[in-house]
Formats: sequence, C-alpha cells, structure tokens
Amino acid sequence: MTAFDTARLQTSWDLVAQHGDQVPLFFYSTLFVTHPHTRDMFPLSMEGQRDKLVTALGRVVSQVDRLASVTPILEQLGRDHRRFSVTRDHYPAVGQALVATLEHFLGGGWTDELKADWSAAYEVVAGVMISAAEADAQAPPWYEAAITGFERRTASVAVLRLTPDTPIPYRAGQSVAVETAARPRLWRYYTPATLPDPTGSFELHVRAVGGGPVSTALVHGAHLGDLVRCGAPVGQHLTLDPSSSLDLLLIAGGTGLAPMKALIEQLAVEGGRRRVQLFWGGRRHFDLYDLPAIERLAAQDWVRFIPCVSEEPPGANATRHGSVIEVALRYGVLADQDVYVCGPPAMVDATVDGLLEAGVPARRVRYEHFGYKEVAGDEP
Amino acid sequence: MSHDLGEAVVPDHLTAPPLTPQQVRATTFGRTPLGRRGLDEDEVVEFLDRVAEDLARRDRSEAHARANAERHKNALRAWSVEHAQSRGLGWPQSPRPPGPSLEAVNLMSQTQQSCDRYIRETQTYCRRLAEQAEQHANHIIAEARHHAARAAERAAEEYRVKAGAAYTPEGEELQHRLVWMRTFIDSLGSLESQLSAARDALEHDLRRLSPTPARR
Repeated sequence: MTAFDTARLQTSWDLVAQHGDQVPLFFYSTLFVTHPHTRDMFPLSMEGQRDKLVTALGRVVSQVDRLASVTPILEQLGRDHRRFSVTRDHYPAVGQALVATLEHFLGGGWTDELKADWSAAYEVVAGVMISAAEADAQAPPWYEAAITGFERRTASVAVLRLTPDTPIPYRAGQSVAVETAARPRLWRYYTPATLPDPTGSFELHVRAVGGGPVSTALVHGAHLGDLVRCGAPVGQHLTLDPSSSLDLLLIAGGTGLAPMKALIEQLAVEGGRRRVQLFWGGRRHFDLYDLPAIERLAAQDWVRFIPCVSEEPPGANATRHGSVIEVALRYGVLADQDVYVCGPPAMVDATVDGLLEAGVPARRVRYEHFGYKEVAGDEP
Repeated sequence: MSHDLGEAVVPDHLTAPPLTPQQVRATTFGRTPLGRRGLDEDEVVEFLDRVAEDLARRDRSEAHARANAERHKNALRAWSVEHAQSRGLGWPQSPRPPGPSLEAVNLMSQTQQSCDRYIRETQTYCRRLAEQAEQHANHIIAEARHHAARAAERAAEEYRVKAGAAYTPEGEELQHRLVWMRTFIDSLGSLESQLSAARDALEHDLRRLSPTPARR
C-alpha cells in the first residue's frame, strides 16, 4: 500500500467540505465536461447524487488509514457500480475530476504533496472497488426482467410479477434494486414477496409514493411486457438465520409485507418446523391489499396471521384495531423469538421502540438498516 | 483560485460541511404528542422550502460569479499577453493549466442546477396532486360509509318489525352487516379498479355470512 499522510488528507478535506454543495457540483461538472460519455451513467436530476458523493468521500478520507474498516463498504460500492455499467476504465476519469475539484477549492493550499497523498489514497480506494467488481464478474451486472403480471390492488399499491432472463439468486428477505426504462438511471430497492417459481419469476409489491419517480412509474405507468432491470440481491437483515430454530414474529406495515411473505414461503420449503406469528397492518381495511394470498399461507397450522387496522373499526373478519405494534403487544411478545420488522420508516421506528421497551433483546430484532426507506418504497 | 473564507460564517463544528438545499428539504421534525402545543407543520415545511430555495439560489449565483470572474481573468490575461507582445517583450503565452476551462465547468453546473430545479418542482407538484387525489378518495369512502350505515340501520329496523316471533339478535346483526356491505360496495362503483382490494375482502366476508342453504 502506498503511504500517505492521513492527517493532511483529513485537514484538506475539511477545508474543501466547507464549500458544501458547491464541491460535488463542481466535481460532476468537471467529470462531464472532460468525459462527456459519463453523463449518461447518471440520472437527469443530480440532486440526490451530490449529497451521496460528499458523504462517501468524507467517510473514506477519515478512515482510509484503517483500510480494513472501510473495505467491506468499498467492496459493496464496487459491486454496486457494476449495474451502472462502470468499468475499470472509468476510474481514472473520476480520479482526475476529484483532483481538479480539490485543486479548485484549495486554491493556494494545493501542493504537490497533497496531490500525491490524494492520488495515492484514491488509487487504494479505486483498487479495492475494481477488484471487488471484477471478482464478481461471472455474475451478470444486472438482470433484464419482463413484467409478466400486473395488478393494481389499491389506489397506490400494485403487485407486479417479474420474469428475469436468468434466475436472480436472492434469498427470502433480500432486496433487489429496480430501474425502469421510463426513469433511466434511477434505482429503487424492492423486496421479492415470493420465492422464485420454476421460471425464475417472482412477485414485487410497489406502493406509489406521491412525487416518487420510480414507484409512480411502476404503479401507474407499467404495462405487461415492459422490461425493467434488476441489480444483484442485497441485504442481510431480513433473511433467515440458518443457525436459529426459534419461532418467528413477523411485523409488517403496508408493502413491508413483501419480505414476510417470502420468509413464510421459505419456512414452508424448510418443512414448517418453526412457528410463525404474522402481524400485518394498514390504516384502513382496504390497505390490506393481499389478504387472499396471506390467508392461504395462514391456512398452514404453523402460521398464525393477525390483520391490524389502525384508523377504522375492526370488521367482520378477524381484524384487530390498532397499529401493528399495539396489537402485537396486546398479544404479548416473547424474548426468545426472532422478530422481523418491515414497513414505512415511522412504523419501523415505533415498532422497534415498542419491542425493546417490552423487553425483547435488541439482537433478536431484525430490520433493514441500509435505507429501509427505499425498501419500503419511499423516495425523496 | 483563492476563496475568501473570511466572508463565510465559520461554524462551531468546522468539520461539518454546510447544509445543502437537499438536506434542508429532507429535514423532518418529530411530532408533539396530541394535545400538546407544537409548531404548525405546514409552516415549518414552508419555511424549510424557502430556506432551501435561498441556499440553492445562493449556490447558483456563486457558480455564476465564478464564471464571470473566470471570463474577466481570461480577458485580462489575453490583454496583458497582447500588450506585452505589442511592446516587443515577446512574453510567451502562459501555459494553460491542464483540464477543462472553468467557464465550461461552471456552465455545466448552471445547466445542471436548472435541470434539478425543474425536476424538483415537478415532483413537488405531482406529490401535491397525489395528496389531493387521496383526500378526494377518502371523502368518497367516508360518504359511502355514511350511506351504508344509514341503509343498514333502516334494514335492521325493518327486520325488527317484520321478524315477529322469529326475531333473534343475531338475525338483526346479520341483516345489518349484509346491507351495510352491499350498500358500501354499490357506492364504490365509481372507484371500481382502485378499490378492488376492499371489494374482494368484503365480498369474501359477504359470501361467508350469506344465509345460503349450503352453509345452514
């Protein structure tokens, strides 16, 4: 590894970072002016992109001397970039734009030593990302999938069936990033709600978020036969722990149902030896958009399903009144269960808080940390 | 290219970069518990929008100012070279630094920022439309519910009058529910596709509750 002065890197980065949004703005403009073909790899609006770059760079710079601690993040970043069609050849262009940006904002403070430090640090980072991406090269960078099923279930929720060109090797509870031709270069994470069938096809539950470009295009603009791209499966928090034989408590709000449905299918494949309690909630009765399918799953004697509705009186079916966590706590939660939580951010927060207060150990509570916002279908 | 840091407000936490318009827009505040005094959420959101727009405008004018400064500097450089040559000093053309012209970079920045603004405004507009549509749908459902409740009351009353000796509370409850569901389903005809889930669920219950010979 090339040596560089970490303190100097950090000091210079702090000076540059004071210019806020101007820094990534200048960086991307330089990249696009010097290497115009890279513009097509980014979405039309760069707003979300800019914050990401500054955050990522800041994190890398402050930890580059403890490479071991950032390596997993960099490797994941490198693999993620495969679906953006990034190859080894793109890295020098980014490095040049980065150096030009630092030079611009540091002005007189930019020295040959700093240039050497930054170049060395960038080479290390790029090296880790490139190796991780190339180690993954036998897997396709993305999967082309056709929309082979489409049902609008409520005003804002659609259930889609996707059939990929080759089966996507995901585990129940993992998510895939999805890009539609209608919104190029915008990827949002969705969780397959079923295991793949023999043709590799699976179900996605999508809620249209007001003003959300991808979710709206999927719910209101998708047609049978349309093609979408799916990235490699990601996420480790909502998958089954192979070493655990505990019973499961699944708590879902809205389209947060998706991973739970896939998990129950997976448990059935494994013989249905672990008991499952599923609490699924919405504000109103018709927000429970997948009742027939869930009731079929709950017909298995090891599955117990409790539908919850928070803003309407309970109806003729077995629906309980209250938020999912309120109802779950009324039923009573046990400390020795694997608990899975998925749904809109506020619901996940409230549910996790409620579980911890009720004495469920934090290590038993599983939810997606990596922007579960996106998993729930929310968009900026 | 020196930047006058003296003009910037130096924050206490030097290492934290200043807020971006994006971060201001993404800021949310916790809700006060019901019944407690709190800030008007709409006012807070509106204020944050204004702050974000001010920041974005400042960023745009900074990019613009940089482009202007660069233009002037280039003009000055050209003038001094020309001037030096005309005086026969033969001052060589100063080597341009490698990399793109700052003017091109700044032009790209300005264009991108305009693009970002249009997209953001469009998204805000779409979000408002979606919210309005949802409110409208909620209103229609509330009406349908109200309508169904009245029809169910009338049906229950009719049952009480007609049943005579055959009256059972369960029978009255059943009539009430059946009519409620039928009326509710009828009222939602206009929301056909959007509410298929509600209808499926209710029809499922309706089949279960209907006094068909097979079930009795």
